[in-house]
Amino acid sequence: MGTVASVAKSENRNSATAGRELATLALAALGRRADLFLVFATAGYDQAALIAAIAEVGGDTPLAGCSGEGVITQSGSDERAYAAVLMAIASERATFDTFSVEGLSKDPRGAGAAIAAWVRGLGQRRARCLLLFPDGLTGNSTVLLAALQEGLPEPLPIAGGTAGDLAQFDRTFQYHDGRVLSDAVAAVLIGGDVDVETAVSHGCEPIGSVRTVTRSDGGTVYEIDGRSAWSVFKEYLDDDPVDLSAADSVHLSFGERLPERDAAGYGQYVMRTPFGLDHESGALFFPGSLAQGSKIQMTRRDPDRIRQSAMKSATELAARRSRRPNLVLHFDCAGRGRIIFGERASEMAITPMQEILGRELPWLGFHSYGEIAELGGTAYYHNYTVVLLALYDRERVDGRGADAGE
Amino acid sequence: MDEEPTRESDALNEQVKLLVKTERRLYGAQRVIEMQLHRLGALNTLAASANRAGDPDVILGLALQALVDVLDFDQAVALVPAKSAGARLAALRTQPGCEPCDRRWSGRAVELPIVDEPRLYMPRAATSDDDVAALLDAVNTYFAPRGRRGAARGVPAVELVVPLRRKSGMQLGLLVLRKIDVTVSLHETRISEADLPFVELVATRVEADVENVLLYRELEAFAAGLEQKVAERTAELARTNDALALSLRRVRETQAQLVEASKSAALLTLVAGLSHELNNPIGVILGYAQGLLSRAPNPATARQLSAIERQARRCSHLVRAMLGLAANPPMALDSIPPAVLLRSAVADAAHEAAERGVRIYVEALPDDLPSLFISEESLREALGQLVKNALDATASGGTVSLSARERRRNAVRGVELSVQDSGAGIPRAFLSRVFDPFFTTKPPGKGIGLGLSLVRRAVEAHGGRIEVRSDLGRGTTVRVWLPIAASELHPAEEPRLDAEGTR
Repeated sequence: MGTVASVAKSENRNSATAGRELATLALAALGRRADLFLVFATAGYDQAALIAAIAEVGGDTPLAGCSGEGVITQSGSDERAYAAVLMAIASERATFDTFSVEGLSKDPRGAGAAIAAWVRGLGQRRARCLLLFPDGLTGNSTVLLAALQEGLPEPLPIAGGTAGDLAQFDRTFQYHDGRVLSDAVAAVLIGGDVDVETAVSHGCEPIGSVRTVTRSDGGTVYEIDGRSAWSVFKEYLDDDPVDLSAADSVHLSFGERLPERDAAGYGQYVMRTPFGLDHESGALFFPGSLAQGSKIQMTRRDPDRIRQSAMKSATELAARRSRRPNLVLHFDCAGRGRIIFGERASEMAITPMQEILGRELPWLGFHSYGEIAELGGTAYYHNYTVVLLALYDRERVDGRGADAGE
Repeated sequence: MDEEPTRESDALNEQVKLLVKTERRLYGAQRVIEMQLHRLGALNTLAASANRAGDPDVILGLALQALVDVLDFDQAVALVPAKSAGARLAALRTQPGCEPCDRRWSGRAVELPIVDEPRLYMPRAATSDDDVAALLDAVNTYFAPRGRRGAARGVPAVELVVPLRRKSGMQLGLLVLRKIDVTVSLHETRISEADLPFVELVATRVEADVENVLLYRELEAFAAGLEQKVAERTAELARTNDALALSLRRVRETQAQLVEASKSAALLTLVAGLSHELNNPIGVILGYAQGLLSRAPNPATARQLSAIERQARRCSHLVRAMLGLAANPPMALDSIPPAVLLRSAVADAAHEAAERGVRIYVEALPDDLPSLFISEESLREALGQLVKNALDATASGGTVSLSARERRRNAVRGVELSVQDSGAGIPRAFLSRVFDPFFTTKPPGKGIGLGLSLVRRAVEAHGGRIEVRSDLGRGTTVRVWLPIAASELHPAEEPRLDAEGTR
């Protein structure tokens, strides 16, 4: 049996009912015991009740996922307060291990090292791809990724998204088996006879002069070109706002200049979005670091470019293999959904990619506060970006091809 | 040298900032336009659906759906005044998972308050003494709120009350919409007073549609009422016509009976006078004939005197009969079993029947036949007359049978005595006259036509009724119905002809 997956969605506002619906529907569609549940849900739910209800139906099936600003399936994206999705995966060719580490804000480096140690402990055979779902508000994901990659014996495809909470910027949730955590990282290690392909794109356009981060500490940027970071950012906003709002910041971000080796085929910048403002110092907080001395440029979002670059990267992803993947995971920035496309979010930016890769494929994702994907072999933390991960059963050596869906 | 590029760069940067701000405003305007288009679409959908709906409850449900869809409410009810008391739940809309928790709407005790315009509570104060509070509490109880975070205990985060009115100003009902908590996504409507004009638009739209449906129903009811009234009046007229025709017929019948009765009365007076005048001479003739007969000088004279005596006796008998018809003697009543009456009548006629070669008998009688409270002499004579008539009508070899059964007439218990013959029967044309005095079908000298007239008189004197049914060539049956108890005696009904020619 190859790798098979089924996807269920619930909009039921009763958390326990929604959880039971998800697990029951997905397992019924799968028709067999699942080896992994991937779960994403919006923040209206009582998260503990939701996960408990899934576990009630699914038993000890390993589970990972997180809260998101919205959820994504083949029926498009849903960014309402009550929407939850679950993918049940079963495979005799792939292995699935789940893990979590808490205290991300206090020690992102330690969290990265812990995950690396866990991966090393499982052995190379079980490590084909690592999915990460860190808290999107609390920790420095750039530090997390750096420590993680330093600790791995050899490069490993890493992808994922950071948890969201309906743009309330209060608290996000990470799911690991029956537990619901915050300020944590949930992780899934996929191994066995499978391969993955990832694609990443943003569609932002650099504007204005190149600037320099003149004072920063990890994710906290105090000064840009010698002025407070907030005063620089605010110059692009109307009506001299007193606070940083999602509605304002979603139209603007900073592009951090990439090293030449990683920029090839992608673009000069990786996006950086401020998630917090310190009124006293005028410092902006970025969940991905902006190191002192970094070259940055303001970027504006362009809906047409977002759409075109998403379709381009999906086309490139589809072209890498001569067959359809067994499943697709989709991590899309919260700022790339309804907030920019309105009612037409699915039609403009989601469905076109699904049409390129296959409308019948099991497809699961969520709208994240930050995205994780590799560029040039290195995993980066991104903002305003879409990451697609396609999983394939490894082709047999006798050339008969994959047996997905058998 | 370096200042020029810097100034140029600064100017370009400023232009970029301006462009970004303008673009941001355009995005904002685009969102507003999209929102308005969304609302316009919802209103159009509502208008198209409500226009086709012929039921006010369905229209109210569509209004709820439009408000729930556009303003992201969790729960919504439409309440209208109940027929008896309180408020009826006319429509219900909920998001999945927000359904009422196994509770039924019990609105009998809830009166709909008069509300002037849409009211928004975000949230309602627990101490609110608003007259709407009782209604909202009832709705709260119906849904059994789950009290998630963001919701005050027992009170939803947002409540909206929308009044609906008829053109007359009468309140049609209230829409109550609820949002359980305030956890909404960036893209869901955070409802505010600014949304109330849209709510008013929805209300106005459905008010017009409900008004149309109700007016149409009222018109239909009026038209149906009109048709009903016409039908009722037509039926009433037909009944009056029938009654008039019946009255007219009765007047004619009564008139004819009056004429007959006056004729009979005059005849009876004449008969009574004549009989009285004849009685004495006949008595004298009879007396002398009997005296002379005892001293007859020879047999030839004796035969002649005997003939005179026989004929005089016959005349005397006729005269007594005629006097009996005119008189109305008092009756002595006794309790007599019907079987006694029938058997004695058969015994009295047995000799004559044997001579005529006619078989006469009493049919098997029910064991529980009640006794009759009657004048035995009067009814023995009457029954004897009926048996005599039957024997007269029946040729040799025929039968005359007598029977009795219990039978109710007009809820009065009684016994029906029947005398049935297998004789020649009575022609249909004569049936209506058989009870008339002096009507007879017998040849001259065989009777003067007083028999059935006297029988009827005797029966009616007992509160009974007599009927004759005859089948020409097959025989005749005379049925005499008598009430069983004296207390059940009632005035004689007027004998009537029925379709079969019975009386």
